[in-house]
Amino acid sequence: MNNILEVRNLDFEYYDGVVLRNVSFSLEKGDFLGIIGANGTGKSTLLKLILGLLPCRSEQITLFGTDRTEFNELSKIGYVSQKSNSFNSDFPATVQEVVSANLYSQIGFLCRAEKKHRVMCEKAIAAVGLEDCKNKQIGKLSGGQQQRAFIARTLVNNPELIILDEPTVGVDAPSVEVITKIIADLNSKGITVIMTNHDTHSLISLANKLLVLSEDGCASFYDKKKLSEYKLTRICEGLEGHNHA
Amino acid sequence: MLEILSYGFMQRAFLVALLISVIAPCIGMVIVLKRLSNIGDAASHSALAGVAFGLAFGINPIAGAVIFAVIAVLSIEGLRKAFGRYSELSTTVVMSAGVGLTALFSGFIKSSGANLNSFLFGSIVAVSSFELTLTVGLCIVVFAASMLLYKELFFITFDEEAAKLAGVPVKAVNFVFMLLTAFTVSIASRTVGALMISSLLVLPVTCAMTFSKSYLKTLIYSIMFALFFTSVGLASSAALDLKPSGAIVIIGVITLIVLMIINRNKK
Ligand SMILES: Nc1ncnc2c1ncn2[C@@H]1O[C@H](COP(=O)(O)OP(=O)(O)OP(=O)(O)O)[C@@H](O)[C@H]1O
Ligand SMILES: [Mg+2]
Repeated sequence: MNNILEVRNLDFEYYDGVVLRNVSFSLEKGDFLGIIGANGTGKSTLLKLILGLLPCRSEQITLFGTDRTEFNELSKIGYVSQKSNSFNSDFPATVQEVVSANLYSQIGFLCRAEKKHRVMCEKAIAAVGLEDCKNKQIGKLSGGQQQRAFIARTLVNNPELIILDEPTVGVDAPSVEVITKIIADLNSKGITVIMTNHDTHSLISLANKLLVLSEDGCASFYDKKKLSEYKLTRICEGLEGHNHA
Repeated sequence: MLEILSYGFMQRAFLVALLISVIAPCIGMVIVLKRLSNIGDAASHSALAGVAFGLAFGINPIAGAVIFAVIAVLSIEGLRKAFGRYSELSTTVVMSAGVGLTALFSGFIKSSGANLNSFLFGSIVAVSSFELTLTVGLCIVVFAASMLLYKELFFITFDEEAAKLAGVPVKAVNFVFMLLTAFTVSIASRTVGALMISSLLVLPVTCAMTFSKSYLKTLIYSIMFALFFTSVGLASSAALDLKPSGAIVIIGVITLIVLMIINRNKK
């Protein structure tokens, strides 16, 4: 069993309509899944289902061989949410404080951080190149630096799966490159990555598996190796994934 | 001026004021950063209803305040779900109920009503020894709980979703925090007064936030500001014969204005 994630016949609807219909795919260790789809096709919803922020039925999602409904090894999964940098920018919290907060699952309820936890925090901050900003207020950093801090926050737990929802949205071009490189490096170290991005082009070049969501809630799953150049171009231009139900 | 400290009631007043100055910012940090300041208002007005109830029916007013404030914060949580998209209305509804009940109960208070007045604007020098014990006890509970839950409260306040994912028992911690808020508001209603509690929760934190970058330092500076406001407020009220609670809050407001002017000139 090398499967990190298995999604089987997953359906989901909010009160006002179906978002996902019969979605199935699976990922192995080291995979990089790019989720592609127009606005509102359910990319974030799918990620939240995987994370357990939205409820699913048993047998629909399996994480590390365990059913989602029974899964509790929270520190194995890192998550950078789409709205992570929409917090109050006056919030008094340093990069270090934000990053070390996520050590919670290792420190435990009501317990205090020890020296080894501080070392883990320093390492995570160094991994995204924010050593010089660790004592700065997070709200006063640039958008790109904030996203790097949020990536560092997931790294403190040495996760095996990282889920990133539009990590480069609202970030200037040079920072996009830095962030993209950090994510590619993590993936090359064997960390499984699931990512959505409005820049389909760059997402396709990073990923080895693609999931294309369409407006009717259906999804097509592709292995990039097996795709023809023609099909790849069509996915990239947003022509694939519509009206094929 | 220092001889006033030799009076027992003045020593008690100082002790209570200093204790409240330590716990108000612990609660105020979360209230300010989560933008919940109106919950402080709703709880304090409900605490006032408890005071009126206590005075009318012969229960210790602070105990009455604690009970009513706890019911109030729990109702806010309950109503929030019932109101769905208009969840912020729940605070307004609870606050209205608090004001309404205060008015109703005050009709049953036999004495002139001067006593209820002392809870509106606080009466720090009239603290009895039972109230002192209750206040000290609750202060210790609130302070110990906020220190124990420090990293949980910080995580939830900054990013509730991430805290949930990391396994923080978000609902339980929020529940405990609501209880601590109720305790703080009730005991503070005796000293700074129900109408001024919100300012004591909010002003020290707002002052600290004008220059502090980290959560921990903001908390420490907030406590220092609160201690400064209450001690200077009490001393000046004794020296100039002012109402203590008013002096405390006005010193807080003046400090904040000064800090904001300094901050603007720096930019
Ligand atoms: N909490 C919610 N309640 C009701 N409907 C929702 C909720 N969240 C999302 N939706 C709806 O579900 C659909 C999918 O939303 P989702 O956020 O998953 O899309 P997305 O693909 O991530 O879009 P984007 O590219 O804008 O991030 C949308 O039509 C949205 O309006
Ligand atoms: Mg989205």
